[in-house]
Amino acid sequence: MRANAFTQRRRLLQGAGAMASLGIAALPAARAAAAGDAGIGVFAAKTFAEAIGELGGAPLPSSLITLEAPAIVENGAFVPVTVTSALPGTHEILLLVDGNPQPVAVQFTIPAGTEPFVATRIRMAGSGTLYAAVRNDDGFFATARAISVNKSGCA
Amino acid sequence: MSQAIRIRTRREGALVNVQILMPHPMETGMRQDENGRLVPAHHITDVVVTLGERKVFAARMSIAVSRDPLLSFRLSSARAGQALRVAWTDSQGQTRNDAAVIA
Repeated sequence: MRANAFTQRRRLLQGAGAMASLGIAALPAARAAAAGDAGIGVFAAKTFAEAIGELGGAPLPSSLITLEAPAIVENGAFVPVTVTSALPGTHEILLLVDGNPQPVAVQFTIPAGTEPFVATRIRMAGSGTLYAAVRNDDGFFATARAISVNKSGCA
Repeated sequence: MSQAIRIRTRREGALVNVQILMPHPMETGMRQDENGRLVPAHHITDVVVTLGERKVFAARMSIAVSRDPLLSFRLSSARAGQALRVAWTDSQGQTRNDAAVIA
């Protein structure tokens, strides 16, 4: 369990490093704020790097987010996903797929009085990395899971 | 005419578990019909759930949400008898809303 969390964290950190080297983490704050306000930009993103940019920069890895999804999926049209956040003050949960033509799959608003938990089903175009990202008052966090898809959900 | 949203609420201790199924084709715009023509994108973009007058959950969806979107979440402050209303809007401007009473 501990080793698993560690390798996941390392993978995320490597991802964040790669994003930083592309200059994505250093986006101007103004643009990040605009994206948060209008919100349209996140769904317009066509690549994972663009999506992270529209979201205001790379999330920090967090072991306080639990992402449940099968490691191997027969049909990418129906990938069951459950996210539970133990981050205090969670007010937004996002699902992102690195490898989908539109990487931001869905954005959930979690007001006070609603548990930081959501379950849904998403499409994956092929094998890729699924990210569950969470916003709270402290910032933007994520956890990731590699998923192998046998049949594309895009058809 | 769209099909009714199915809403199920179940009490789990202090929490109320809500399950929502919204019948909708959720066309991605990448699928071909039997004649090889692309079927235009048609998907739910926004879902808002209110408990009485209060917004308790919202979702903004891309084409990457599966056909007949399924949502499940938990309310920590819902009382029996309160009305839970679910409303969606799709990319063609169609809307639908349905309600259930908290169990």
